[in-house]
Amino acid sequence: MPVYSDKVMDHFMNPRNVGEIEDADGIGEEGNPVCGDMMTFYIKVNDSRLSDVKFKTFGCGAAIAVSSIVSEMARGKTLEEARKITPALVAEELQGLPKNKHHCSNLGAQALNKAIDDYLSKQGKPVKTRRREKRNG
Amino acid sequence: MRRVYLDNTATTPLHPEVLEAMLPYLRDIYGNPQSIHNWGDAPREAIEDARARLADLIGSRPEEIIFTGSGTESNNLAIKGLAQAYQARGKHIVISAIEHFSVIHSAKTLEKRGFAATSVPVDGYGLVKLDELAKSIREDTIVVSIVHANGEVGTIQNIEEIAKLLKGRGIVGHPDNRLPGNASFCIEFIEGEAMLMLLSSWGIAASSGSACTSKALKASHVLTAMRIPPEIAQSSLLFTLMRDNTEEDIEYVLETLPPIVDRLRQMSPLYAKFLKKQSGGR
Ligand SMILES: Cc1ncc(COP(=O)(O)O)c(C=O)c1O
Ligand SMILES: [Zn+2]
Repeated sequence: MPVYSDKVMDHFMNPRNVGEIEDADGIGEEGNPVCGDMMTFYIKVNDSRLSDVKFKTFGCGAAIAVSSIVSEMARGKTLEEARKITPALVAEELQGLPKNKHHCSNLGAQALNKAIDDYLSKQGKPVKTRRREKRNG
Repeated sequence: MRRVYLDNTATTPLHPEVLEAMLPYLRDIYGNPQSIHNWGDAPREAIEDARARLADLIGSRPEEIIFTGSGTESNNLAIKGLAQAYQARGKHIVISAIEHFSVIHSAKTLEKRGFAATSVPVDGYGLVKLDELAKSIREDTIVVSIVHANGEVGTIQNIEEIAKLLKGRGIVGHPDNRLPGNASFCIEFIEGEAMLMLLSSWGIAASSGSACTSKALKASHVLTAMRIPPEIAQSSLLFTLMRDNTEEDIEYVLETLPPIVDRLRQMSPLYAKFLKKQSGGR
């Protein structure tokens, strides 16, 4: 087992905001079961703010902790602010991730961004994705 | 909390009788068996006695037994050593797709040194395909190295049939072997490392062949060779037993595991999709 920080362990053992939002304003799915981990983010938007964020994750300890912290970081933020949640920030917030688990932090930020994209496109607004180029494997 | 160790393929505690037999040499009796002075006598006698008894056990001559420090060393020595010894006869070796890496990498090294190697596929149960094995054997085949019992999925090969294929053809069979009590599962829709971490928090040690549990982030080559789909391999969970495990230990695991599976499935988007599909929705 990799050596995880206390913060990762906490979010893995007690993940925040697990679940689906029935009437979500945006849904973002990232990763796929073939390459490993997979995350789905659900968002509710009120006055351009993320009033609710939930997730479901198929994946390892890091993947679950990343989804949990991303959901926490995103809640209450404006869409613009939420776009600024980068993989590096996620890893920092988790007190670091083992090297071979960094791809998990990309997944979290990407899934959230996709949920925001989904919301914007449903609103008929321009989607300006800030998704990372670097894909996980 | 109860502590249950079920990861005996990784490593296993020393058998008390082995400890007992070794203690004198770890504590009181020292000396290099090669030495001329008589500090070497007792260790030399002990080693030669062990060699003779082992030879008797497997029906070989004592001088045919070589001691090494580990299974990895043994496999390297056997495969590379045989290849070097018999290269005048031929330069082709055969292994299976589910060998330990010490065998696979020995074969790869030999390929770089001008040998040819064939990896024989296995079926969905991890059994070496005998017809493929028969086809893979050539005029210049010198070694066939196949794991007798696979430590990861527990498959036991039909080693007699394999031996028959090799008989009278001047090919050396090398059956690698190691098998603790083995219970290998794939628990769909959830990932192996997450299971291991939760099991560990309940005092249970197990292992997994999932991509996320490997350093290289690749699913186990054994499960892959068995054509287990990647998302199923991702959910691998392996218990390997030892003699000290009790009935109560196993009952504790049977109580502890289902809530862990439930908990992770509640989190899993794949499980949610599966449930939706089952209820006829999309
Ligand atoms: C079938 C098989 N061969 C070889 C080895 C390597 O043995 P060692 O760990 O002693 O190097 C193992 C290790 O688990 C094994 O299962
Ligand atoms: Zn992972």
